[in-house]
This record gives sequence, C-alpha cells and structure tokens, in this order.
Amino acid sequence: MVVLDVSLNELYKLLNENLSEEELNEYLLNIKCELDEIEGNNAKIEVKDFNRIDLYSLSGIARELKGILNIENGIPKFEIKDSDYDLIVDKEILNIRPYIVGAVVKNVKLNEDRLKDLIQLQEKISQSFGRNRQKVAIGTHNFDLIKFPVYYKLTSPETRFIPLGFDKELSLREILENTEAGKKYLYILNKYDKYPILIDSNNNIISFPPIINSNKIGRLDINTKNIFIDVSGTDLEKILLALNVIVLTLKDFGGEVYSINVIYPDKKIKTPELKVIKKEMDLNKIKKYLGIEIDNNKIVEYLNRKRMNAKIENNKLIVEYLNYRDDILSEYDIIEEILISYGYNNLKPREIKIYTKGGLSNERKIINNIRKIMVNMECIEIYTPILSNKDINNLLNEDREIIELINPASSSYNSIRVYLLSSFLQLLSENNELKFPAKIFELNRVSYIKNNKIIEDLDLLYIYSDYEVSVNYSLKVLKRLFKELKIDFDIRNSNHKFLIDGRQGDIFVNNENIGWIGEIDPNILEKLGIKYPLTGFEISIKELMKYIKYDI
Amino acid sequence: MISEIEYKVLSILNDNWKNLDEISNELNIDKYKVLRTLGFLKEKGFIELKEEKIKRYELSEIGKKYLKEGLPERRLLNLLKEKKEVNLEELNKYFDKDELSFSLGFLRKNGTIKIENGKAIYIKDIETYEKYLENIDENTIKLFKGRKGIIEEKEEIIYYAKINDKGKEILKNYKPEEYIEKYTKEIIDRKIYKNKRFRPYNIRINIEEENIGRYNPYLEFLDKIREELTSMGFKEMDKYSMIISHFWNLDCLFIPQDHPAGDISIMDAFYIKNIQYIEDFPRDLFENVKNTQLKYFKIFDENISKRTMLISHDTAISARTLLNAEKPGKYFLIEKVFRYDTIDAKHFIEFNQLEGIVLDDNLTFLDLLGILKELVVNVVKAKNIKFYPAYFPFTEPSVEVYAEHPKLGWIEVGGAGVFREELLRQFNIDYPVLAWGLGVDRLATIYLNINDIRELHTRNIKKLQE
Repeated sequence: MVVLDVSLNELYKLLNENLSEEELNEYLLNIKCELDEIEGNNAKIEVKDFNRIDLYSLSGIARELKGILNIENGIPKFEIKDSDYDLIVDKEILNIRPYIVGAVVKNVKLNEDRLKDLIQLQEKISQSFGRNRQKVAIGTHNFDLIKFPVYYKLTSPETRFIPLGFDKELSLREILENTEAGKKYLYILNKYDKYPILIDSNNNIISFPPIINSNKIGRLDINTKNIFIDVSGTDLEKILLALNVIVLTLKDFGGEVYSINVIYPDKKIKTPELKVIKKEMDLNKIKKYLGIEIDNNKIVEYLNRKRMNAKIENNKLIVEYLNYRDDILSEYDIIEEILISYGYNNLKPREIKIYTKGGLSNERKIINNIRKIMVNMECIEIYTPILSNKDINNLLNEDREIIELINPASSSYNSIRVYLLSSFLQLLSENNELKFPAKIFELNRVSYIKNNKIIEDLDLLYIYSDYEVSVNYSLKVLKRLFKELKIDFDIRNSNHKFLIDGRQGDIFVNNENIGWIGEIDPNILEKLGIKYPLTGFEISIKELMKYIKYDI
Repeated sequence: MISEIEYKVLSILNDNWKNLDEISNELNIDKYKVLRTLGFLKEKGFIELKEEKIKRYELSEIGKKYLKEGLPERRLLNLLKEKKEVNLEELNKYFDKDELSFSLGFLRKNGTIKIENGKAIYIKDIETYEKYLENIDENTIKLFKGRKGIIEEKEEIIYYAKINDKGKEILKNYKPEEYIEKYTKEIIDRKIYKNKRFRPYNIRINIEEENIGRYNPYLEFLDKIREELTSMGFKEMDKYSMIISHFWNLDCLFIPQDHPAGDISIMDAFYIKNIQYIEDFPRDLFENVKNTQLKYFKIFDENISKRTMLISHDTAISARTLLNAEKPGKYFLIEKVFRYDTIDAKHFIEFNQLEGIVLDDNLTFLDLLGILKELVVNVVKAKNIKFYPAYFPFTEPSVEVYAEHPKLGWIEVGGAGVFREELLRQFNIDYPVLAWGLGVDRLATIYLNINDIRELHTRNIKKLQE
C-alpha cells in the first residue's frame, strides 16, 4: 500500500481550484485513492492501484482529478526538445545492471512542497514498482554542475566520493558497509566485485546507482532550476515508464523537458520515450459488457475525462493515451475507465435474473447435522483458532508430524493443531474459567503430516468436566451420537500418552481407527496450569462421512 | 398466602417483641431459616421486625486456654508452692515473658510471694480469678478488660419480631391440612388433588437457571449468512482447503510473482515449513498460467508456484471452482483465511471471508452491482449502498462497496469485480465471471456487539455457558 504525504495548498494550486475535505475525499475515491487523514495543510493520501505509479505525486493526482472535475480533458499536453547530451553506457556494466535512461528538465520551479513531493515520488516508485530499487532506481541531480557526456560504468569498490548527506569521501565499499542506504540496498550488488557509477566528463562522480547520489551534484534544493534525471535498472520498459512519470511531474512544476541520447555499445536510444499510445478496441464488445446504453460521442467524452483521446472508426474504438500508464490490456480496462467517468454511483444496479438452485455443500450438511445433535445434548459449542502453539501440540502428538509455519506471527500460533484438543487446552491454559458441569464441543479443522502427506481433516471434540468425571460421561454422548447417525462403532484398548492408562480407548468404525476416548492425564493438565478434571473424545468427521448418507 | 414455615413462625409470635434465638429454640428450626422467613413475613406485611445492635464480651482463644489450664499467676503460684523457691531465670522456661512479668507483679502485690537474690520465694496461697471466666458478667469485665487479649468485645445484631393485625388475620385463615405440598405420582394415582388444594409457591424465588446447549454465536451468525446465500440461489463451493499452493493462492489470479508484499495484503501469507512444495493443480492449467505470467509479467518461477502456504483469501477457492463450474452458476463460500499481521483488538491472523462468483453469458458490471445490492440488503441489513472504483489484480472493472449501517454509518463492506479476461482465459472460460468478497468478521463484531475482533474465537468458555 502506498501512502503519500501531500501539501493540500500545492495540490489546489495545481488544480486551480479549492475543494472541501468532503469533496476531496469523494473525488479521490473516484480515482482509486483515499484520504487517510488531514492535518492542517498536510494530507495523507493512499493510492490503491499499484499499476498507477503516476499517481504517486501531487501533480499526478492533480492531472487525474482535473479530468474527473472536467477542468482539463484528454491527453495531457507535453513537449520534448532534442538535445545533444549524451549518456554513454559501458559494455562491462551490461552484466550487472544493464539499463539506464535519462532526461534533462530545465527551468523547474521548485519550492519546499514540490521538492518534498519529487523526492517522495522517486522513493515510492523505486520501493514498490521498482522492487526496492532492484528493478528501478531513480536519481535526480543538479544539471548545472554536470559536464556531458556522462558515463555509466563499473568501477572498483575502492573508488571514493562524498555521498549525499556526508562531509567526507567514502569508498563504494565503505558506503555499502557503513551507511544506512548502503546496508539497505547492499543485496542488489553484493555478488559483484565491481560497482556501477555515473560519472561526468570532469571525472566528478554523480551517483552510485542504485545506492546513493553524490553530496554535491546529487543534491537538489528549492533553488535548483535545471535537473538531470537518471533511471537505472534491470527492466527497460519499467525504467522508461518511471522516467515518463518523473518528467511529467517536473513538467507540471513548470519545467521544459529535453531528451538525452543514451548510447549503448550496440544501439542508441533517445529518452524519455514519452509518447502517445494508440490502441484499437472492439467497440461492440465494449458496448455489450458496458451494461449501459450510451452514445458513441459520450463514450469519447467519458474517456477524455480519464485523460485519454478517443475516436470511433468502423466499429473500432481507437483509444489514445500517454505512456505514463501501461495498464490498458483489453476492452475491459476501457470499460472500467468509461464506467468510472460515468460515475459508479450513477449506475443503476440490475437485479440478476439467473435461476440457479442454491444449497449447502454435502460436507456442510453433515457438519451441521452433527453440531445439531451435540447442541441437543446440551453441549456448548466453542470455536478456536486453527493455528496453535507447537509445544502444546507436542504434548498430545504421537504418530503425526506437526505442520509448522516458517514465519509465525506469534509463538502462540506457530503450528497447526494436530487435534482440536490442543486448541482447547491452549484456551483453558490462557483463560481458566469454566462452570461445572461443563459439556463442550467443537467441530473444526485440524491438519498434520502422515507418511509425508498433508492431511486436512475435520474433527469433532467433546469434553466433559465437573467436580468428578469419568469416561462414562464421554461414552454416553458418543453412543447417542452414533445412534443418531445410525453408525456402529466399537472401542478397543489404547495407550495414548495424554490419556490416563486403563481409562482410554480408540474408537473404530468398520475396523478403521477414527479417534480416541478417555480421561485426560492430569500430568498433562498440570503442565498447562489447568485445574479441571477432564474426560472426552475426538473423532475424525471426514472418516465418518463415508458412512453417512447425504440425504439429510 | 403463606408457606408452612411462615405459618409456624407466625403462630408463635404475639404482641410482645420476641427475639430470634427464642423463636428458633421454640420451633427447633435453624436460626438462618427463621431469619429468612421473618424477612418474607416482613415483606408481606404480616409482622413488625426490628434489630438492635449490642456489645458483648466473650473469651478469646487465650481466655479459653486460661479457663482450661488456669491463669498464669495460678500456675506460677502452684509451681512455687511445690518448689518453695525458684530462680527467676529458670521460670522463663515455663512462662512467656509477658505472662511471667504480670504474674510476678500480681503475686508480689498480694504478698503471696517475695523476690530476693534473683529468686522467687513462696509465702502463702491466695485465690485467683479463674471462676470469673466461666460466665462472663460485670465482674469478669472489670477484672479482665485491662489485661491483654483474654476477653474480646463483639458487636451483635439481635432481631426482634412481633405479629401485627394483618398477620393475625392471615393466621386465622390458615388451614394447613387442606394443602398438598409435593406434587408426586401418588397424588395422581390416589386422586388426592380432588379433595385438597396445592400449596401456592413463591414462584419468584431466586434459583439457578437450567444449563443449555448452545451453538457458538459467531458460527451461528455465519450459518445465517449461508442461509441467506442459499436462498438467493447460491451453491456452496466444496473445494476449500487451508493448505494450498502459491499457484492457487496467487499465480492463477494474475498476480505477478515478484510483486512486493505489503502492497496487497493477500501476499502477507504464512508459509509451511515441513513440506515446502506442493502440486495441487492440473498440469494443463499450470502451463496456461505460466504462459500468462510470462506474457504479462515476464517472469515465472515454477518453484515459487509450488510453495506451500496457508490460504490467504477465499478468491483462491473461487478460482478452483472455475475448473468445473456450471454455467449459469452462482457459488459462494464462507471459510477461514490466514494472514500475517500484528495481533491486536482490530487484527487477528485468522478470519472468515464471504466469497462468491456468478457465471453466465452476457453478465455485466451492472449485474454485479445488482448482486452486491442484494447482498448488502440481506447480509449487512443496510438499505443504502455506495460504490467506488477499486483496484484488485484479478478483476476489471473493480469496485469497493460501502453500506450505510443503521448503527455505524457508512462502512466499507467488501470488494468485487469482473474477473479479468486474461485470468479466465487460463481456465478456457470465454464468458464473464462476476466475483465478490465481503468481510464478514467486521459485520460479526457489530452483530455480536463486541469490540475486540479476537473475541470472535472463544476466549472464555464460562461466558458461553452463561
């Protein structure tokens, strides 16, 4: 989830319009953003669509809102001027971090809010979309201090320069080992013995991508007018998209965009590649699945308000949009744009007329039937978490392998229960309150590994507790249950470690062992600080289901 | 009406105050029962009842000991009488310090012993006061009030009762022999009820309520929702499992494998340690998904796809249901999902989701809104509904649903959308599938009136019993 910190003044300046908090929230919801909180001039805005990195800045949000508010329609205006600034990519670097693109934007009008927004934009893009700078890392630099051409190449870890925020030179190795940014992004470079740098023709290091800028060239302040942007990474399409978003924002901050020439060993490209994308869509399909009757010219108008141009030719809808977004895959993406523009809350929900026969699954019917029998025997149904503490599980486990989590959220829930009894004992050990006599049951999921296979089962646990208990109290309930289910069972001697010797048994149906019955060993209870005598049984319902007729 | 014991008590009361002890002795009924009966009679207005607080002295534990063994001065005197003289130091062995110093002082003052050269020497015998301990009267108090810990002051409440006119009236009309006390089989067999009346009870008496069998309230709530859904023609999905591959949970839903966790909560999942890979999918579907992933996201790692995890959203089961769903078809599911989270009053790592899909030719987004509206009316019990654009990787268009709850105002209740064509193609489905998910746990907390989401799972059995 991406949450932006934005200045409302600056947003309203870009919009040329002031909005009330209520209006702003309503409009933001319509562009898949949400106003999280407002404090004076500062607002926190959540951007929910992670395919829309253009919304990670004030200017991007303003651009989208202008369409919705009908302040400005169609493809945003832009102009890119050619230049003779060259960025030369060394052959050696292609094996490590193969792609870099860039642009120069001049006469940008920055202020505190805009500078903060620009830095935030870079960070958010490289975090989420850029996979923590692995795929995309962005640097913005003071163009006036750079002598072109600029070189992107590998260098020794002992190369030294003053990184942003420091007052003395550090080697690249020291930066990786000792600085915060270095440690955070070390993982991207740690398998290489040479590191990338961006260096100008005066031999001044501009930055150490994707780790850190230089302290001088790579530092922007509110007086910086002319900016050189580099975006490096492992995915050319992604870094081009990121560059488009950055230059559009700087353009919205008053800048003029200049392209640069990126010279690879085998090819030369001019970036940014900001351009209009043209896609042909099937108009009939759009109309069919749109669900609303609207004229062709209305379709065009609605798309205009989503910052697209559109026209209709021979049953084709020709859609044009600027490539700061890359999320238009099919007709359905266009349908959504039209519907959003039309306003979801202006749509008339249609009552669905499909006749289908509803019903519960057979498993559910059986579960509910058994629960009903238990409740009719005056039992209280409990509902405990499926995840449980491994140590408690271990107290009960014999021939099953306990399923453990790699990344538990808490030691109370670091494994899956092998028996419902685990969860019940865990519950009692955490909250030791019970009223005598207590008749308790749970029908729920357990899971474990047996013969190297994961078994998922549904179990029924019954527990009886009073000042005095005996296994007969469990047996009575078990007998009634099986009588109601019309299934025969027998009990054979067992020696489970968690049940009292000589007062326990295994429950068999058709010669298959489906569970245990007995009195819980007080030695187990003592370990968990439980002070109630307990008897009970636990049976596998999945096993039982084989013998239950479905027509309940 | 009065009960038998009330009658007994009433009948021995007269116009003079009688205290509780007297009544209890006279009737040979326990004092507490008499007192309770007096309470009832007072409430019914048949007697006057007053209480008096009095101070009373009684022997302490030490006092009782002295009564049995003799006061310490008596014991000292007896000892000296026998031995004629004893070293003071030696006396320490027989008496405690306080007892000894009091006794020596007391006996010397009365001239019955003398102390010389560190020895106590016997002179003559005198009378000591043991007999005053036998019955506590004014003398006892005078003699022992100053001495530490022999008698204790106690406060006691004495109840007095006398009958009033209304009581006399009821007494006159009471005919015990005409009533049947216990309703037994014999009463029926011998038709005793023909000649006698049953004694009326105080049916407002306070007794403990009967035990009850009870469904878990939260599961009962989920059952009610299931009932609503089946009555809307939805069939319950039967392909749920809690342990599932990365493939089902994420890959087949058009979610790129390298998407960073944190952006979408469904990626905050738990992974299984013991069996790290699982193949729970058909091979041809796997190939389709792999091709889709490679086409749109450019990467696909088969091993990641086989990672074993706990299901983090029920849309995974909707996807499984697509494998052999009927058309037209409406399916739903309420089942557990698991997400890594910090555990507090608002978050727990296990919760239930209500998930559904609808399949048919020609379905549109408006049909989806129609279903959502019906769900909100039937499940959320809200009249008003609002829709906002949303983003889910697996649907387009997507919508977030807000409902105006009678108590809480506008709340977000779920998300929905039309499954992406790119996703459906993997299952060889070429018609629309509407999908939605509602958060039922939030609704459950409202319905059950609880503030802590962890309480949806049982935390206190006694509470359920009561």
